[in-house]
Amino acid sequence: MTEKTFTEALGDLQNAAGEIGKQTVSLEESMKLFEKGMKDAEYCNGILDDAEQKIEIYDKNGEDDAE
Amino acid sequence: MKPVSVTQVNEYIAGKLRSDLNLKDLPVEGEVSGVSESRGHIYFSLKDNESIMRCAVWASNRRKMNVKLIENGKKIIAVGDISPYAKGGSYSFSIRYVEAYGEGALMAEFNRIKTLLQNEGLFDSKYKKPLPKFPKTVGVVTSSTGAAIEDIKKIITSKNTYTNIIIFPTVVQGAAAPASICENIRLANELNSDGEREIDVLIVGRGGGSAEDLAAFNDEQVAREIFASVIPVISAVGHESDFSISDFVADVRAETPTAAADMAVADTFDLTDDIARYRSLLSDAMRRKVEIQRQQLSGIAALAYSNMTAKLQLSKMTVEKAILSLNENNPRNILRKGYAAVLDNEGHVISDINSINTGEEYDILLRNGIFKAKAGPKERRPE
Repeated sequence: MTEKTFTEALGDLQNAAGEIGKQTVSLEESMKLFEKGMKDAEYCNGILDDAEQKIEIYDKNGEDDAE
Repeated sequence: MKPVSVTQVNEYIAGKLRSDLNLKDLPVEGEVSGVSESRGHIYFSLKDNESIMRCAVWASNRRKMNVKLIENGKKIIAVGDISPYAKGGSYSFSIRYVEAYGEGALMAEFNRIKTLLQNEGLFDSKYKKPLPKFPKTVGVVTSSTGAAIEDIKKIITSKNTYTNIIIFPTVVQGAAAPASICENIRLANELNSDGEREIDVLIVGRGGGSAEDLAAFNDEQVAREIFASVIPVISAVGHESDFSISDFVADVRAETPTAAADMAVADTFDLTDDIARYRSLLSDAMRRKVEIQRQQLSGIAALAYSNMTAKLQLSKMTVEKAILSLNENNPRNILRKGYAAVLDNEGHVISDINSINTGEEYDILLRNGIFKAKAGPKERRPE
Protein backbone atom coordinates (compact mmCIF):
# COMPACT_ATOMS: atom_id res chain seq x y z
CA MET A 1 0.00 0.00 0.00
CA THR A 2 1.37 3.41 -0.87
CA GLU A 3 1.50 5.89 1.94
CA LYS A 4 -1.50 8.13 2.41
CA THR A 5 -1.21 11.85 2.05
CA PHE A 6 -2.13 13.99 4.97
CA THR A 7 -5.26 15.11 3.13
CA GLU A 8 -6.35 11.52 2.51
CA ALA A 9 -5.72 10.49 6.09
CA LEU A 10 -7.64 13.46 7.47
CA GLY A 11 -10.48 12.78 5.05
CA ASP A 12 -10.63 9.14 6.13
CA LEU A 13 -10.58 10.17 9.76
CA GLN A 14 -13.46 12.60 9.21
CA ASN A 15 -15.35 9.90 7.39
CA ALA A 16 -14.77 7.30 10.09
CA ALA A 17 -15.91 9.74 12.76
CA GLY A 18 -19.09 10.33 10.80
CA GLU A 19 -19.80 6.68 9.95
CA ILE A 20 -19.17 5.05 13.28
CA GLY A 21 -22.09 6.71 15.02
CA LYS A 22 -24.66 5.47 12.49
CA GLN A 23 -27.21 2.92 13.64
CA THR A 24 -26.84 0.83 10.51
CA VAL A 25 -23.14 0.22 10.99
CA SER A 26 -22.46 -3.16 12.61
CA LEU A 27 -20.23 -3.65 15.61
CA GLU A 28 -17.57 -5.33 13.49
CA GLU A 29 -17.59 -2.45 11.01
CA SER A 30 -17.50 0.02 13.88
CA MET A 31 -14.48 -1.71 15.35
CA LYS A 32 -12.72 -1.54 12.00
CA LEU A 33 -13.65 2.13 11.60
CA PHE A 34 -12.43 2.86 15.10
CA GLU A 35 -9.13 1.13 14.56
CA LYS A 36 -8.54 2.76 11.20
CA GLY A 37 -9.68 6.17 12.44
CA MET A 38 -7.34 6.06 15.40
CA LYS A 39 -4.49 5.12 13.10
CA ASP A 40 -5.34 8.02 10.77
CA ALA A 41 -5.48 10.42 13.72
CA GLU A 42 -2.08 9.24 14.90
CA TYR A 43 -0.71 9.54 11.39
CA CYS A 44 -2.04 13.09 10.97
CA ASN A 45 -0.76 14.18 14.34
CA GLY A 46 2.56 12.59 13.51
CA ILE A 47 2.87 14.64 10.34
CA LEU A 48 1.93 17.83 12.14
CA ASP A 49 4.21 17.18 15.08
CA ASP A 50 7.19 16.04 13.08
CA ALA A 51 6.97 18.78 10.49
CA GLU A 52 9.85 21.14 10.60
CA GLN A 53 8.95 24.25 8.71
CA LYS A 54 11.59 25.28 6.23
CA ILE A 55 11.87 28.67 4.64
CA GLU A 56 14.21 28.54 1.71
CA ILE A 57 15.36 31.05 -0.83
CA TYR A 58 15.85 29.07 -4.00
CA ASP A 59 19.09 29.89 -5.75
CA LYS A 60 18.94 28.57 -9.27
CA ASN A 61 22.68 29.03 -9.66
CA GLY A 62 23.61 26.49 -7.10
CA GLU A 63 23.39 26.13 -3.35
CA ASP A 64 20.05 26.46 -1.66
CA ASP A 65 20.01 28.88 1.15
CA ALA A 66 17.73 27.47 3.82
CA GLU A 67 16.83 29.38 6.94
CA MET B 1 0.54 103.93 -38.77
CA LYS B 2 -1.52 105.05 -35.86
CA PRO B 3 -0.44 103.42 -32.64
CA VAL B 4 -2.96 101.11 -30.96
CA SER B 5 -3.55 100.72 -27.28
CA VAL B 6 -2.20 97.89 -25.16
CA THR B 7 -5.73 96.79 -24.54
CA GLN B 8 -6.39 96.64 -28.21
CA VAL B 9 -3.36 94.42 -28.78
CA ASN B 10 -4.23 92.12 -25.91
CA GLU B 11 -7.87 91.92 -26.98
CA TYR B 12 -6.79 91.16 -30.51
CA ILE B 13 -4.45 88.37 -29.44
CA ALA B 14 -7.05 87.03 -27.01
CA GLY B 15 -9.58 86.89 -29.82
CA LYS B 16 -7.12 85.01 -32.02
CA LEU B 17 -6.43 82.47 -29.30
CA ARG B 18 -10.12 81.97 -28.54
CA SER B 19 -11.04 81.39 -32.12
CA ASP B 20 -8.24 78.89 -32.84
CA LEU B 21 -9.79 75.41 -32.69
CA ASN B 22 -6.32 73.86 -32.38
CA LEU B 23 -6.17 75.31 -28.89
CA LYS B 24 -9.43 73.69 -27.78
CA ASP B 25 -9.55 70.20 -26.19
CA LEU B 26 -5.82 70.10 -26.42
CA PRO B 27 -3.95 67.23 -24.73
CA VAL B 28 -0.67 68.38 -23.24
CA GLU B 29 1.93 66.32 -21.46
CA GLY B 30 4.28 67.79 -18.91
CA GLU B 31 5.57 67.75 -15.38
CA VAL B 32 3.59 69.42 -12.61
CA SER B 33 5.25 72.14 -10.55
CA GLY B 34 4.33 75.00 -8.25
CA VAL B 35 0.94 73.67 -7.17
CA SER B 36 -1.18 76.09 -5.12
CA GLU B 37 -4.84 76.32 -4.24
CA SER B 38 -7.11 79.26 -3.77
CA ARG B 39 -10.86 79.29 -3.16
CA GLY B 40 -11.18 75.78 -4.54
CA HIS B 41 -9.26 76.49 -7.71
CA ILE B 42 -5.93 74.76 -8.33
CA TYR B 43 -3.09 76.68 -9.96
CA PHE B 44 0.13 75.10 -11.13
CA SER B 45 2.53 74.94 -14.03
CA LEU B 46 3.23 72.28 -16.58
CA LYS B 47 6.77 72.17 -17.80
CA ASP B 48 9.13 70.20 -19.94
CA ASN B 49 12.89 70.57 -20.32
CA GLU B 50 12.68 73.97 -21.96
CA SER B 51 9.35 75.63 -21.35
CA ILE B 52 6.71 76.25 -18.78
CA MET B 53 2.96 76.93 -19.08
CA ARG B 54 0.52 78.24 -16.50
CA CYS B 55 -2.41 75.96 -15.77
CA ALA B 56 -5.60 76.15 -13.78
CA VAL B 57 -8.25 73.69 -12.64
CA TRP B 58 -11.41 75.63 -11.80
CA ALA B 59 -13.32 74.59 -8.73
CA SER B 60 -16.32 73.71 -10.90
CA ASN B 61 -14.22 71.09 -12.74
CA ARG B 62 -12.20 69.61 -9.94
CA ARG B 63 -14.86 67.18 -8.70
CA LYS B 64 -15.00 65.59 -12.16
CA MET B 65 -11.33 64.66 -12.26
CA ASN B 66 -8.60 62.88 -10.36
CA VAL B 67 -6.88 65.94 -8.89
CA LYS B 68 -4.61 63.70 -6.81
CA LEU B 69 -2.50 63.33 -9.93
CA ILE B 70 -1.68 67.05 -9.74
CA GLU B 71 1.30 66.81 -7.53
CA ASN B 72 4.66 68.55 -7.85
CA GLY B 73 7.11 66.51 -9.90
CA LYS B 74 4.47 64.20 -11.38
CA LYS B 75 4.19 63.76 -15.12
CA ILE B 76 0.65 64.03 -16.39
CA ILE B 77 -1.38 64.34 -19.52
CA ALA B 78 -3.89 67.19 -19.23
CA VAL B 79 -6.72 68.00 -21.58
CA GLY B 80 -8.20 71.49 -21.72
CA ASP B 81 -8.37 74.80 -23.57
CA ILE B 82 -5.92 77.64 -23.87
CA SER B 83 -7.73 80.56 -22.30
CA PRO B 84 -6.36 84.07 -22.62
CA TYR B 85 -6.42 86.78 -19.97
CA ALA B 86 -6.48 89.92 -22.02
CA LYS B 87 -5.93 92.40 -19.21
CA GLY B 88 -2.71 90.71 -18.10
CA GLY B 89 -1.55 89.95 -21.59
CA SER B 90 -1.24 86.32 -20.63
CA TYR B 91 -2.87 83.00 -21.15
CA SER B 92 -3.27 79.84 -19.11
CA PHE B 93 -4.25 76.26 -19.75
CA SER B 94 -7.70 75.60 -18.35
CA ILE B 95 -7.81 71.89 -17.58
CA ARG B 96 -10.86 69.63 -17.58
CA TYR B 97 -9.24 66.17 -17.50
CA VAL B 98 -5.98 64.70 -16.27
CA GLU B 99 -4.41 61.26 -16.35
CA ALA B 100 -1.07 59.93 -15.26
CA TYR B 101 1.48 60.02 -18.02
CA GLY B 102 1.52 56.71 -19.87
CA GLU B 103 -1.72 55.58 -18.21
CA GLY B 104 -3.78 55.71 -21.37
CA ALA B 105 -1.28 53.65 -23.28
CA LEU B 106 -1.01 51.17 -20.40
CA MET B 107 -4.78 50.88 -20.17
CA ALA B 108 -5.13 50.32 -23.90
CA GLU B 109 -2.48 47.61 -23.81
CA PHE B 110 -4.15 46.06 -20.73
CA ASN B 111 -7.47 45.89 -22.55
CA ARG B 112 -5.88 44.52 -25.71
CA ILE B 113 -4.18 41.64 -23.86
CA LYS B 114 -7.22 40.99 -21.72
CA THR B 115 -9.48 40.67 -24.73
CA LEU B 116 -6.97 38.57 -26.62
CA LEU B 117 -6.51 36.04 -23.82
CA GLN B 118 -10.17 36.03 -22.96
CA ASN B 119 -11.02 35.14 -26.54
CA GLU B 120 -8.46 32.36 -26.44
CA GLY B 121 -10.27 30.99 -23.37
CA LEU B 122 -7.39 31.41 -20.95
CA PHE B 123 -9.72 32.82 -18.29
CA ASP B 124 -12.28 29.99 -18.55
CA SER B 125 -13.34 28.57 -15.24
CA LYS B 126 -12.92 25.04 -16.58
CA TYR B 127 -9.14 25.56 -16.47
CA LYS B 128 -9.13 26.74 -12.85
CA LYS B 129 -7.37 24.24 -10.66
CA PRO B 130 -8.51 23.84 -7.06
CA LEU B 131 -6.05 24.83 -4.36
CA PRO B 132 -4.74 21.97 -2.22
CA LYS B 133 -6.19 21.97 1.30
CA PHE B 134 -3.00 21.13 3.11
CA PRO B 135 -0.03 22.20 1.04
CA LYS B 136 3.28 20.93 2.32
CA THR B 137 5.23 23.42 0.26
CA VAL B 138 4.27 26.86 -1.00
CA GLY B 139 6.36 28.45 -3.72
CA VAL B 140 6.50 32.22 -3.85
CA VAL B 141 7.45 34.06 -7.02
CA THR B 142 8.12 37.59 -5.84
CA SER B 143 10.90 39.91 -4.82
CA SER B 144 12.95 38.45 -1.97
CA THR B 145 13.28 41.89 -0.43
CA GLY B 146 9.81 43.46 -0.72
CA ALA B 147 7.09 43.81 1.88
CA ALA B 148 5.07 41.12 0.10
CA ILE B 149 7.39 38.25 0.99
CA GLU B 150 7.57 39.38 4.61
CA ASP B 151 3.77 39.44 4.81
CA ILE B 152 3.55 36.00 3.23
CA LYS B 153 6.14 34.52 5.60
CA LYS B 154 4.46 36.10 8.59
CA ILE B 155 1.01 34.72 7.71
CA ILE B 156 2.19 31.22 6.86
CA THR B 157 4.33 30.80 9.95
CA SER B 158 1.55 32.16 12.14
CA LYS B 159 -0.93 29.64 10.78
CA ASN B 160 1.15 26.53 11.01
CA THR B 161 4.49 24.94 11.68
CA TYR B 162 4.06 22.59 8.80
CA THR B 163 4.16 24.30 5.42
CA ASN B 164 7.53 24.95 3.82
CA ILE B 165 8.13 28.11 1.86
CA ILE B 166 10.36 28.29 -1.20
CA ILE B 167 11.05 31.82 -2.35
CA PHE B 168 12.05 32.36 -5.96
CA PRO B 169 13.73 35.78 -5.94
CA THR B 170 12.09 37.62 -8.79
CA VAL B 171 12.37 40.98 -10.44
CA VAL B 172 8.82 42.32 -10.17
CA GLN B 173 9.05 45.72 -11.81
CA GLY B 174 10.80 47.27 -14.74
CA ALA B 175 11.77 45.92 -18.12
CA ALA B 176 13.35 42.73 -16.78
CA ALA B 177 10.31 41.80 -14.68
CA PRO B 178 8.16 39.80 -17.14
CA ALA B 179 11.03 37.50 -18.13
CA SER B 180 12.03 37.01 -14.50
CA ILE B 181 8.47 36.15 -13.45
CA CYS B 182 8.08 33.72 -16.36
CA GLU B 183 11.41 32.07 -15.68
CA ASN B 184 10.62 31.44 -12.02
CA ILE B 185 7.14 30.05 -12.67
CA ARG B 186 8.73 27.69 -15.17
CA LEU B 187 11.54 26.85 -12.72
CA ALA B 188 9.05 25.97 -9.97
CA ASN B 189 7.23 23.62 -12.33
CA GLU B 190 10.50 22.06 -13.49
CA LEU B 191 11.58 21.41 -9.91
CA ASN B 192 8.34 19.49 -9.44
CA SER B 193 8.57 17.51 -12.66
CA ASP B 194 12.21 16.67 -11.94
CA GLY B 195 11.13 15.40 -8.53
CA GLU B 196 13.47 17.84 -6.79
CA ARG B 197 10.69 19.55 -4.90
CA GLU B 198 6.99 19.05 -4.33
CA ILE B 199 5.53 22.50 -4.58
CA ASP B 200 1.78 22.30 -3.97
CA VAL B 201 0.80 25.86 -4.73
CA LEU B 202 2.48 28.93 -6.17
CA ILE B 203 1.92 32.51 -5.07
CA VAL B 204 2.86 34.95 -7.85
CA GLY B 205 2.73 38.63 -7.09
CA ARG B 206 4.05 41.69 -5.36
CA GLY B 207 2.99 44.45 -2.99
CA GLY B 208 1.28 47.67 -3.95
CA GLY B 209 2.72 50.26 -6.29
CA SER B 210 1.88 52.57 -9.17
CA ALA B 211 0.23 51.28 -12.33
CA GLU B 212 3.66 51.21 -13.95
CA ASP B 213 5.11 49.25 -11.03
CA LEU B 214 2.46 46.57 -11.44
CA ALA B 215 2.68 46.48 -15.24
CA ALA B 216 4.72 43.25 -15.42
CA PHE B 217 1.70 41.34 -14.15
CA ASN B 218 -0.27 42.55 -17.15
CA ASP B 219 2.31 41.10 -19.51
CA GLU B 220 1.04 38.63 -22.06
CA GLN B 221 3.90 36.17 -21.62
CA VAL B 222 3.49 36.24 -17.85
CA ALA B 223 -0.19 35.43 -18.32
CA ARG B 224 0.63 32.52 -20.62
CA GLU B 225 3.23 31.17 -18.22
CA ILE B 226 0.72 31.29 -15.35
CA PHE B 227 -1.83 29.52 -17.53
CA ALA B 228 0.72 26.82 -18.42
CA SER B 229 1.70 26.20 -14.80
CA VAL B 230 0.81 22.70 -13.61
CA ILE B 231 1.12 23.94 -10.05
CA PRO B 232 -2.01 25.90 -9.04
CA VAL B 233 -1.26 29.63 -9.04
CA ILE B 234 -2.60 32.31 -6.72
CA SER B 235 -2.17 35.76 -8.22
CA ALA B 236 -1.57 38.44 -5.61
CA VAL B 237 -0.74 41.80 -7.12
CA GLY B 238 -0.85 45.10 -5.30
CA HIS B 239 -3.81 46.13 -3.24
CA GLU B 240 -7.41 44.96 -3.38
CA SER B 241 -8.35 47.69 -5.87
CA ASP B 242 -5.66 46.60 -8.33
CA PHE B 243 -6.67 44.15 -11.01
CA SER B 244 -4.05 42.63 -13.24
CA ILE B 245 -4.16 40.22 -16.19
CA SER B 246 -2.44 37.63 -14.01
CA ASP B 247 -5.45 37.81 -11.65
CA PHE B 248 -7.75 36.72 -14.47
CA VAL B 249 -5.58 33.90 -15.71
CA ALA B 250 -4.48 32.52 -12.33
CA ASP B 251 -6.42 29.74 -10.66
CA VAL B 252 -7.33 32.08 -7.81
CA ARG B 253 -6.99 35.82 -7.33
CA ALA B 254 -5.98 37.10 -3.94
CA GLU B 255 -6.55 40.74 -3.12
CA THR B 256 -3.13 41.08 -1.54
CA PRO B 257 -0.06 38.91 -0.87
CA THR B 258 -1.27 38.60 2.72
CA ALA B 259 -4.61 37.27 1.53
CA ALA B 260 -2.81 34.88 -0.82
CA ALA B 261 -0.79 33.38 2.03
CA ASP B 262 -3.91 33.13 4.12
CA MET B 263 -5.83 31.17 1.48
CA ALA B 264 -2.83 29.04 0.53
CA VAL B 265 -2.23 27.32 3.83
CA ALA B 266 -4.40 25.67 6.45
CA ASP B 267 -4.33 26.60 10.09
CA THR B 268 -2.82 23.48 11.57
CA PHE B 269 -3.41 24.67 15.11
CA ASP B 270 -7.10 24.39 14.32
CA LEU B 271 -6.39 21.07 12.62
CA THR B 272 -4.80 19.60 15.71
CA ASP B 273 -7.95 20.50 17.60
CA ASP B 274 -10.06 18.92 14.87
CA ILE B 275 -8.11 15.69 15.02
CA ALA B 276 -8.50 15.52 18.79
CA ARG B 277 -12.22 16.06 18.35
CA TYR B 278 -12.48 13.26 15.79
CA ARG B 279 -10.60 10.94 18.10
CA SER B 280 -12.94 11.51 21.00
CA LEU B 281 -15.87 11.21 18.61
CA LEU B 282 -14.59 7.80 17.55
CA SER B 283 -14.02 6.68 21.13
CA ASP B 284 -17.41 7.87 22.32
CA ALA B 285 -19.23 6.29 19.43
CA MET B 286 -17.37 3.03 19.92
CA ARG B 287 -18.17 2.96 23.64
CA ARG B 288 -21.81 3.70 22.97
CA LYS B 289 -22.00 1.05 20.30
CA VAL B 290 -20.47 -1.60 22.56
CA GLU B 291 -22.82 -0.62 25.37
CA ILE B 292 -25.85 -0.90 23.10
CA GLN B 293 -24.67 -4.26 21.82
CA ARG B 294 -24.06 -5.46 25.36
CA GLN B 295 -27.56 -4.44 26.40
CA GLN B 296 -29.05 -6.14 23.39
CA LEU B 297 -27.03 -9.22 24.10
CA SER B 298 -28.06 -9.45 27.74
CA GLY B 299 -31.69 -8.97 26.72
CA ILE B 300 -31.43 -11.80 24.24
CA ALA B 301 -29.65 -14.04 26.73
CA ALA B 302 -32.35 -13.45 29.32
CA LEU B 303 -35.01 -14.28 26.78
CA ALA B 304 -33.19 -17.42 25.74
CA TYR B 305 -32.87 -18.49 29.37
CA SER B 306 -36.54 -18.00 30.18
CA ASN B 307 -37.59 -19.72 26.95
CA MET B 308 -35.32 -22.62 27.77
CA THR B 309 -36.69 -22.91 31.29
CA ALA B 310 -40.25 -22.92 29.99
CA LYS B 311 -39.38 -25.54 27.45
CA LEU B 312 -37.78 -27.75 30.09
CA GLN B 313 -40.79 -27.37 32.32
CA LEU B 314 -43.08 -28.39 29.51
CA SER B 315 -40.99 -31.45 28.67
CA LYS B 316 -40.94 -32.52 32.30
CA MET B 317 -44.70 -32.34 32.47
CA THR B 318 -45.08 -34.36 29.27
CA VAL B 319 -42.79 -37.05 30.62
CA GLU B 320 -44.70 -37.24 33.90
CA LYS B 321 -47.97 -37.50 32.06
CA ALA B 322 -46.58 -40.28 29.91
CA ILE B 323 -45.38 -42.16 32.96
CA LEU B 324 -48.82 -41.81 34.52
CA SER B 325 -50.50 -43.06 31.42
CA LEU B 326 -48.04 -45.91 31.14
CA ASN B 327 -48.74 -46.97 34.71
CA GLU B 328 -52.42 -46.83 34.17
CA ASN B 329 -52.11 -49.10 31.17
CA ASN B 330 -49.59 -51.50 32.67
CA PRO B 331 -50.99 -54.98 31.84
CA ARG B 332 -49.79 -56.26 35.19
CA ASN B 333 -52.17 -53.86 36.87
CA ILE B 334 -54.96 -55.37 34.77
CA LEU B 335 -53.91 -58.94 35.77
CA ARG B 336 -53.96 -57.78 39.38
CA LYS B 337 -57.65 -57.01 38.96
CA GLY B 338 -58.31 -60.70 38.17
CA TYR B 339 -58.05 -60.74 34.40
CA ALA B 340 -55.95 -63.34 32.56
CA ALA B 341 -54.08 -63.27 29.28
CA VAL B 342 -53.90 -66.07 26.66
CA LEU B 343 -50.44 -66.45 25.09
CA ASP B 344 -49.48 -68.43 21.98
CA ASN B 345 -46.45 -70.65 22.00
CA GLU B 346 -44.22 -67.71 21.17
CA GLY B 347 -45.49 -65.78 24.20
CA HIS B 348 -47.66 -63.26 22.27
CA VAL B 349 -50.97 -62.19 23.77
CA ILE B 350 -53.94 -63.49 21.75
CA SER B 351 -56.94 -61.22 21.61
CA ASP B 352 -58.65 -62.62 18.50
CA ILE B 353 -60.86 -65.76 18.77
CA ASN B 354 -59.83 -66.63 15.21
CA SER B 355 -56.27 -67.22 16.40
CA ILE B 356 -57.51 -69.89 18.81
CA ASN B 357 -57.49 -73.40 17.49
CA THR B 358 -59.67 -75.90 19.29
CA GLY B 359 -57.71 -78.68 20.87
CA GLU B 360 -54.41 -76.70 20.95
CA GLU B 361 -52.63 -75.82 24.19
CA TYR B 362 -52.08 -72.23 25.24
CA ASP B 363 -50.32 -70.53 28.12
CA ILE B 364 -52.67 -68.67 30.44
CA LEU B 365 -51.01 -65.82 32.28
CA LEU B 366 -52.30 -64.83 35.69
CA ARG B 367 -51.11 -62.12 38.19
CA ASN B 368 -48.69 -64.47 39.83
CA GLY B 369 -48.26 -67.48 37.59
CA ILE B 370 -48.76 -69.22 34.29
CA PHE B 371 -50.44 -72.55 33.31
CA LYS B 372 -51.24 -74.53 30.21
CA ALA B 373 -54.86 -75.04 29.04
CA LYS B 374 -56.30 -76.86 26.05
CA ALA B 375 -58.81 -74.89 23.99
CA GLY B 376 -62.33 -76.36 23.93
CA PRO B 377 -65.03 -75.53 21.40
CA LYS B 378 -65.01 -71.82 20.48
CA GLU B 379 -67.67 -69.33 19.71
CA ARG B 380 -67.28 -65.93 18.15
CA ARG B 381 -69.07 -62.98 19.72
CA PRO B 382 -69.55 -59.51 18.46
CA GLU B 383 -67.05 -57.01 19.83
